[in-house]
Amino acid sequence: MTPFDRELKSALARREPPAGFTDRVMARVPQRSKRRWSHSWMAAAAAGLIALIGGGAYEFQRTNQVRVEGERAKAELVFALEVASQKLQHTKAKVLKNSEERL
Amino acid sequence: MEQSDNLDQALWSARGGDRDAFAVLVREHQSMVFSIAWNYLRNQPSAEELAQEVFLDLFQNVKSIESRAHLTFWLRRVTSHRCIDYTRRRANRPGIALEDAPEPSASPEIPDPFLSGTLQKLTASLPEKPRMVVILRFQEDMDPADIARTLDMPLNTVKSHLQRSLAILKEKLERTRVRS
Repeated sequence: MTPFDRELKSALARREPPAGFTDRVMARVPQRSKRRWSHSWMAAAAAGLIALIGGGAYEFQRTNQVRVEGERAKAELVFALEVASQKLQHTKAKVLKNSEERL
Repeated sequence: MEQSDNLDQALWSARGGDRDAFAVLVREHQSMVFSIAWNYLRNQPSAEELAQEVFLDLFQNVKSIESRAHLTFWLRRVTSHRCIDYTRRRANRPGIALEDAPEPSASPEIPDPFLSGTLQKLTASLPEKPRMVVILRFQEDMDPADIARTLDMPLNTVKSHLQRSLAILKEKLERTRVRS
């Protein structure tokens, strides 16, 4: 290293910034981690709510479909019983009429 | 050794979002970052503003820093590029050849009584990239290969900038001495 190099090294030596530099930097540093945490919390809560609503809607639709099918089956059974009852009445009336004619 | 361990711990904690640990990193590296900016810009408010921006940038990217050596490299690199960009934006003028660099802004009729002050002004009068090469070589004691990596510059260009800048600085210093 030449004397000139040493002079240049001395001239360009490191120096401290004005007092309070670190505090001024930290005052500008955003509260990033806290905000990120609350954002992720909110995202998780929203995802949970959507899943809950979706699950509830599916369950409601499934239950409703079972009920409708049950009611339809019940109505068909009642109708079949009514038809059978009418036929029995008709047959009974015929039998009674034939019996009276024979007597 | 103990300080190295503390810095490793501070870097690790800062990567996890610990603000106090980040403040330790700022305190440890502030003289390096501020001095590069000050020697380059020769203006205290601008140097402080630029140094603050570098540390805010570090806060956004601290998770990508893998070691203390990487941190030092990252800070030198970002500070150097920001200094060069800052000067280019401000001047908004085409680059000038090293030989055509102006004399220091100090009036030749009032010679600087201190050699260091004169050398600082002469260095600040160099064109953008050669100026940063000289600052990294003599302030940070970096070898040309490290400077080339930091500035994304071919090694031979760094060596050439150094050689020519030193020749010009010596010549201008001589002229200043003769005048005074």
